[in-house]
Amino acid sequence: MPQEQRPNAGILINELKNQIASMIEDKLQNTPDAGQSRQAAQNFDITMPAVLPELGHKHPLTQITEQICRIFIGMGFEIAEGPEIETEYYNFQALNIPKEHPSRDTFDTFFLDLKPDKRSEALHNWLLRSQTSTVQIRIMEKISPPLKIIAPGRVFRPDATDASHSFMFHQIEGLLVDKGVTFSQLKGALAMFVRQMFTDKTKIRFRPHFFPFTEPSAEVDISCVFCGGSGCRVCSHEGWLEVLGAGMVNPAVFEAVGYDPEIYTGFAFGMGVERIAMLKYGITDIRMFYENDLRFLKQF
Amino acid sequence: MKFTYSWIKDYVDITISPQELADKLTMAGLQIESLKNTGQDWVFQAEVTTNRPDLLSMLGIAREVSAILGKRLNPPVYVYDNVNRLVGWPKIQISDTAACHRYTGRIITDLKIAESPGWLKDRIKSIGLRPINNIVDVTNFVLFETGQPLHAFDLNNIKGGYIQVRRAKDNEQIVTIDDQARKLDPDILIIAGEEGPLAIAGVMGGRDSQVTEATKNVLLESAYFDPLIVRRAAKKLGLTTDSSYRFERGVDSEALKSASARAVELILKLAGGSSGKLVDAGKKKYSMQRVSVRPQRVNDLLGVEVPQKFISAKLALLGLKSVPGAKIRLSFTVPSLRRDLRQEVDLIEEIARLWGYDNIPQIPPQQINALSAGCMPRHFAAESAARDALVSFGLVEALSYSLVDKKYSRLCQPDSLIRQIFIKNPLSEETAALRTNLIDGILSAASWNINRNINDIKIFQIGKVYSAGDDARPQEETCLAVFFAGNRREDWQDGQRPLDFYYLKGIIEALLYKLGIKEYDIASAGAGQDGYKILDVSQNAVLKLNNKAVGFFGKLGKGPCEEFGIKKDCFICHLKLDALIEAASFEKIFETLPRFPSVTRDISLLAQEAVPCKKITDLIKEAAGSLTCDVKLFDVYSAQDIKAGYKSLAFRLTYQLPDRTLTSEEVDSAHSEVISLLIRNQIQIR
Repeated sequence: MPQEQRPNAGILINELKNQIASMIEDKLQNTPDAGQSRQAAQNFDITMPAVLPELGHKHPLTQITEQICRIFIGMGFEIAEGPEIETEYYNFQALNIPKEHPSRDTFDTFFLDLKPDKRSEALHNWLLRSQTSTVQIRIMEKISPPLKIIAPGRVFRPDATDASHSFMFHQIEGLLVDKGVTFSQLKGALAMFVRQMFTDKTKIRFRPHFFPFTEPSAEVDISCVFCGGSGCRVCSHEGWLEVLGAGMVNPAVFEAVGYDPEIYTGFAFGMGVERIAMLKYGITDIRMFYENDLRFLKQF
Repeated sequence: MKFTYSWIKDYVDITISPQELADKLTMAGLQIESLKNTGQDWVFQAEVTTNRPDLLSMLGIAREVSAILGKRLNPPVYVYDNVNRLVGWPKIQISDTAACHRYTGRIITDLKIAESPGWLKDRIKSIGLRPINNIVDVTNFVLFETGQPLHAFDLNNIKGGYIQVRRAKDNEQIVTIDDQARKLDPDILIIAGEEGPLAIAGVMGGRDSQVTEATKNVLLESAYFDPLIVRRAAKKLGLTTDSSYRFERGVDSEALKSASARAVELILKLAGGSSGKLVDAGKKKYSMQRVSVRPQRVNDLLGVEVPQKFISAKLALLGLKSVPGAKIRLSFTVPSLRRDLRQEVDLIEEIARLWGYDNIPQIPPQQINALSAGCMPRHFAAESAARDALVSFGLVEALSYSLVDKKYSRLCQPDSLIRQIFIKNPLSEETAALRTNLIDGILSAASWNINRNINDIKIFQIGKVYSAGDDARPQEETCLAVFFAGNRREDWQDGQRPLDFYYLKGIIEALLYKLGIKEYDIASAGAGQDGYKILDVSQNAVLKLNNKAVGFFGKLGKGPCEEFGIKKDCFICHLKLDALIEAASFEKIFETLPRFPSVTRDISLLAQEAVPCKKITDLIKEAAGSLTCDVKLFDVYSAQDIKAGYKSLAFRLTYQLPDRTLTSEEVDSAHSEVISLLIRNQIQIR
């Protein structure tokens, strides 16, 4: 078609197209089928229960562990794992807890009925680890600083089991070693963690305490997640909940792994996963984590 | 440790309220667990950490308060010269100088045992003790005031004129002041006279040598006993006393004399009488520890500038004495009551806590802000991938205890050659062994739910199992267990769909798929074979990777069902997840999509019941030859009209060539090959 005639032809063709389309539309609406589909639309009950897919659930402790790990991986930490069965050397001596020291009482352990392990002329009994700091020692023996690691895992202590204690629980311990690491930085790092784990308004408080493997040591509280710090039953009206232990790595620990404490300093921290899960989710009895009641597990 | 507001005020000037004091003490490291107003006084309950035995006394706490508040400590005045030469002195023999390196004793005669005066009774009662008589109350008072446990013997019951500090002999016995007869042995250190044991050193006195209303003359003991010896004795006898608690943590050997002097002064005042001179047996010399701290190091470690004056002032208030030393460091001698201060970093902690942790700024570490690779080890990531896969399949994750009852492991032991590890000091029979598999854990979880009428169960557990290797060294490995019971789903469209063997097989194959494991074998586990006794004879299977068995699955046998109270059919799987993780591959390589159409043919077969489905699919694939043939079973028919002992299977065959379109002749030819091979193997076509 010549160029000058095209616009007019286009308009006519378009009009024709629209006419045909609406005739088709009319036909569709008014055929016998049209009546049926309208009927069907009215009879289709969308309120019938949905046919749900089969939903799986991760254990709440797994979910909390993953959340904590994600936060620290985001800060550049590496995840490290170690054995649950340990020797006295790694569980005590290397952590600056000498044999028969009263501080051993607080770290009472399960001993295993096995022939002791020999390490440089000394015999060390086998036991179930009571803290995951053992992993930190193993890593420090293998690699040189600087390093940032977190070690999640199971630990065991012969505590009578009740609503808030279990002979078996999960810990996550962290370690950061470099030149010029300070207590000030430890405070900052844990504040960062706490704000991501709980709320960005959560406050943090450090209280002097004693751990054989850190000096200075601290117990770390967060402002109560339930009352915001004003005081309630959960926080025994203190406004604070204890969630972490932390401190600057004791030079004796560095010496045992061959790091020079004059060049390197570091901080370490640890937390109980069950404790954090119970605070975050409002769970009241630690035993529920191991009963595996499906009505419990499916809530998370 | 209990203490009261007014008692501490005897030694240091406190102007702040009890609540403020509790807060300051907590924030400086002595956690106050409770504070009660008794009307006349305020009672503090403190949690003393094991590194601070010096805080197990009023003077120790008062010293701490003086350091926090910057006030002077006012200890009691000690009187040493109230000696009456006419009174004798005790003969002391220490035969085990390692267990007791210093023992002081003093004789006091012509005492009048009486009720204690009001002020003393009040002090005793204020910390929850019962007043007894003036002598006993004084010894208790001085124990709590100074932290030095004292003991008073009735001198008339000490025969022979001497006392021995020695190890007990086998078969020796003593009746302690609580009227209990106790057997002794050489592990236990005792105070003995000519006639035998008089007291268990550092723990508890004997009934027959204790101070009673009839006592006239007393031997006052103030000694240093080795912490380990006292700890062992206390543990052996199942006793903990205010004395043993302090000896175990280490008392101040330099304070023996002053504590004795304090007690004697009070006794003479309250009970009259005269006292002889102090006999000091054993080692008297204590070499003062020197520790120094570099102010620069304090700033570097804490991240805050602490003025040198602050360091000197606070450490002085804690009892340290400044001594000259190198310029870059401040040097001190450490008093015997602070044996926990041994290295520079211990002093830095004292400075930090007295400065106040709250006054140390919070700075995010530069290292954290600098880029570095956060990551996870392969095993951890693979385990997470397996867990994610199972959750995505609709399973719920369970977690069980690592410690189990010995009896279950015998029942559920799939591999009788595994050596179980036992706990030397278990809490109970139910937790006396380390689990060698996850089966009892997952069956306990199942049974818990079934007992609560939760019958549709699809759970899994990933966890470690433990055993002793050939070299008697412990081994840990990660396993996976899955348990099914009841219905997979139930809805108004399809009704109930029960869980069964094939669905479990599907979960396992889907997991292998997600882990990138393409080569594996599923074979029958054999009827009641040693390793697989737990499974039902009819529906059992073993999973093999590289020809090695890595686990089993199938219907749970009658025995375990009964043991765990499970009445319906259920299914279990137990795999060595470590083996799967090792074989896993998360690398993906793209395969070009088929460019040419495929041709499908359906085929319906009649085969004898006993012919395994795999044999049929293998035959089909063999016959199809070079034409790629996907074989999918889409129907199983075994109704009335099928011959008895036969089953009908319908397959969909998909023929495909990668490089060109198939001709219908090629498909027909391949298909007739398939049919004739099947017929040659006694499989009929319907």
